[in-house]
Amino acid sequence: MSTVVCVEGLSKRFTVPRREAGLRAALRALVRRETREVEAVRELSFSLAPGERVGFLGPNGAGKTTTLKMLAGLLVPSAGEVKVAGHTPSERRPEFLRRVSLVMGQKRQLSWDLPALDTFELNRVVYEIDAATFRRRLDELATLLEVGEVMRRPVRQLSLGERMKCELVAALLHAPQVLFLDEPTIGLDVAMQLGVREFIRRYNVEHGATVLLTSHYMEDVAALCPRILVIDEGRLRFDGSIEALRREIRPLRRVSVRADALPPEAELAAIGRVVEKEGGRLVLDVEPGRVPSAVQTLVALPGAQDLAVHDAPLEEVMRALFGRAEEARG
Amino acid sequence: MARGTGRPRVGYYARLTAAQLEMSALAAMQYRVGFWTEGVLGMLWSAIGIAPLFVAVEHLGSVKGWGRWELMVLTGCFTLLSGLFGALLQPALLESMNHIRRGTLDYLLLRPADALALCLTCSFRPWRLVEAAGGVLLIAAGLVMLGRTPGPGDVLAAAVTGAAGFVALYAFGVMVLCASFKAMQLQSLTYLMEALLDFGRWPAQVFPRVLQALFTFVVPLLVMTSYPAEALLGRLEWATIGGLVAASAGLMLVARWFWRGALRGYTSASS
Amino acid sequence: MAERSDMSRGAGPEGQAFARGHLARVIGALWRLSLAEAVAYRVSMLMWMLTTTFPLVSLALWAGLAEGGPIGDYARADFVGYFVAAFLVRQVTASWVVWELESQIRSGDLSTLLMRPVHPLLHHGMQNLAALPVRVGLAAPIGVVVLVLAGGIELGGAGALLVAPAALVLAWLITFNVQVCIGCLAFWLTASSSLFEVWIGLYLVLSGAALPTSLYPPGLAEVVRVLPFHAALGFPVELIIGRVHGPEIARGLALQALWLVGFSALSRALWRRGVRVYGAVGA
Repeated sequence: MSTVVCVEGLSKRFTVPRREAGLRAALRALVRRETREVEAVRELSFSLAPGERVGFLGPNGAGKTTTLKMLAGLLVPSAGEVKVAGHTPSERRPEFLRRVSLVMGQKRQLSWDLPALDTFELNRVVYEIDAATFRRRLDELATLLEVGEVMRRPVRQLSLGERMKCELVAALLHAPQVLFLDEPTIGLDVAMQLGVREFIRRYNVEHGATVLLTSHYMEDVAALCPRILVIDEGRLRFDGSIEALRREIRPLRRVSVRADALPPEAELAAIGRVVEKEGGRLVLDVEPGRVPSAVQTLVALPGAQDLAVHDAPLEEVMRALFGRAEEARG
Repeated sequence: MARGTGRPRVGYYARLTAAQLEMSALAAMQYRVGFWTEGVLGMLWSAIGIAPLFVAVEHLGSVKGWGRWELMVLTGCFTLLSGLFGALLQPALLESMNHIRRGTLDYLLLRPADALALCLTCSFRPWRLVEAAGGVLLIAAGLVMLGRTPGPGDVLAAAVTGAAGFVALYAFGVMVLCASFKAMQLQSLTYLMEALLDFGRWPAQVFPRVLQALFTFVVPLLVMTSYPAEALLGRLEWATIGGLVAASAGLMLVARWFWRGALRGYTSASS
Repeated sequence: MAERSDMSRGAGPEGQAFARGHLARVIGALWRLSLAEAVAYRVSMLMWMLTTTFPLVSLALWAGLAEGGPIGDYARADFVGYFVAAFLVRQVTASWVVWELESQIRSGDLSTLLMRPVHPLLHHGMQNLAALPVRVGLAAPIGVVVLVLAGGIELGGAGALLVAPAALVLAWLITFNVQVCIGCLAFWLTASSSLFEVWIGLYLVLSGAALPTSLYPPGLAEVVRVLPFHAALGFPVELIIGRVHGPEIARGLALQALWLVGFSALSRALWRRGVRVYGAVGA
């Protein structure tokens, strides 16, 4: 199979009740329900190859989670075609469900009062995994995620990070081909976020499972996903690598330096665009080709130190992308 | 790797139900107080409810052909039903509704097993079986006082009727579950079910025709209480039993149809 | 240019008047909000109402049983009057604060309520009262229909009817306070809902919801009629249909007041203790 996920013209409309605040409106609503249609996803088209790691980015309410749920078969599309692992997800055939897995950072599947291990056992029965395979996979996952001890304690006694790691184990016991992750690192501390990210990357590399990730944390997506799909207001705005996105939206490199004396505006304008010039600190946006000469110039400044060259931060790129979209909508 | 996609795989679902039961039993063991709060108190609750019945018998001598000990058998059937409902059906319905409200139903729907079967087995309250056991004792006591030993045919008839009724109650529960997809507040319907269940204490004949029909075909209480009791007392005809079984099967098909519709329109709580 | 702050009004008469006015405004706002909530939750109200149609099915039952002749001092027609009155009284006095409290304590939502300048129990009380018009509005037509179908109702004398509203208020307060007591148990026990189920079981049988309490065998009936269950339902019902006369009315009211004093003291104590425990353990 050359594509494991294939989406064509996917759309989803919701009917949402509408009511204004206030008593009169509430009474009116008793008699007549007013509704309006919301287009959560509009004609999305893309495809993924097996083993890819892909991130969905977009503002809140953009339609990322809705798309993910349609791919998982939880929601029935209003229009368009979806094929995941050769199946139509909304038919929810057992063969399809055995090949995919969904982890939602804000909702847990583990039983609250019992040790995670008991939920793993239940999953073993649900997915009909034979005892030997189950033991092998459980050992592997528990070692990788370091939850050997933790999984024997009741889930309610675990910290958020430990719980998340156990959720990942539960989701991967049946060795799915496609892994859907919805905000997996939400609420976790930085160390745990790194741990989860690293685990997902490693799992993808070692097992070849396709990973689809939505996250608010740009670092998650930037660190983990060579390819991103940007969704805004239900539409696909960009499909490609982060570098390509940067090149298209914010191609300038950011150069920063600290010096005792900074050159005047006129001179700086020749090097690049001034972003910040305060105290002894100077930040410039410079065209990629001109970076070496800019660096040479800046390094020569009296008392120059802390010279650094970065790409534009992803947040800014995204903001620019959505800003552009806003303008286009006018 | 098509594995019996058309036929329901009995072995798999049996194993799955057993695993769910085990989970619930484990959780119940963690909460040993449940023996008292759910088991013993449950039985007390059922016992308390006999009071109106006995008052009626005090004043009337017998209630539409049911004497004191016949009523005891009936109460036993009711207690058995109440215990089974509280142990098997009600917790599953409540937990499923919790899943819907919290948005964790998504996980259930992603399992490679029939979603309805998963919902109906997702939670049990084993301690309520104490109440069910109490019901069986009451039935036995009543029969002993009457000096009656039901023949195998009677016991079979009672079992079939009771089972048919329980299936019908499940069907009703499924429709309540489907309704709660649309409106969270409809979760109170399970409490409505439990409240109505109480009327199963009374012999079917006491209710006016209309209510009899309602409580047989819509909220199938009498099928689980009066009719099995009558069967044990040797008073039920096989024709009636056939009708009840057919009605239950019909109700289950209707429920299944509603369920499919509910899944289609599932909007999944936003995260 | 000093501005008069609220604090500067002080505890004098002006300050007190201001505080009273403030409280009145808060209560007013809460009332409006609760009313809107009540209307929005029309489905749950409907369900609630259906649950309390227990008296109506009991009506069908006992009317059927009384076909051959009166049971005790209730003939068929008397049962009709009794149970319709019971249905309406149950609607008016119903509370669900026990479930709300329990879930709020468990989930930690109680913290939000505790932060508000209005006492949480007052909030719950207001919510209940705000929903009263909706409840009565939904229940009254049903009551009227049943009465018309069954051929009318006998009402109590002027004296009894005059006193009935007071009895209803007392019954409402008793029910509310009892539920608060049981709800507060959730501060300490996880099993509080099971205990409430036992209470409900007792209530249905002993309050007059399942059958008039006067039908119990003599001896038992006297005991039952002294219990708080009867004070919360049976007594107001019998007042309305004219089964309580003269000195019995005063006695009934006194019993209600007594139970109310007891339960409100208990609920206050349990609440105070419970909130302390709640704060110590943290949500």
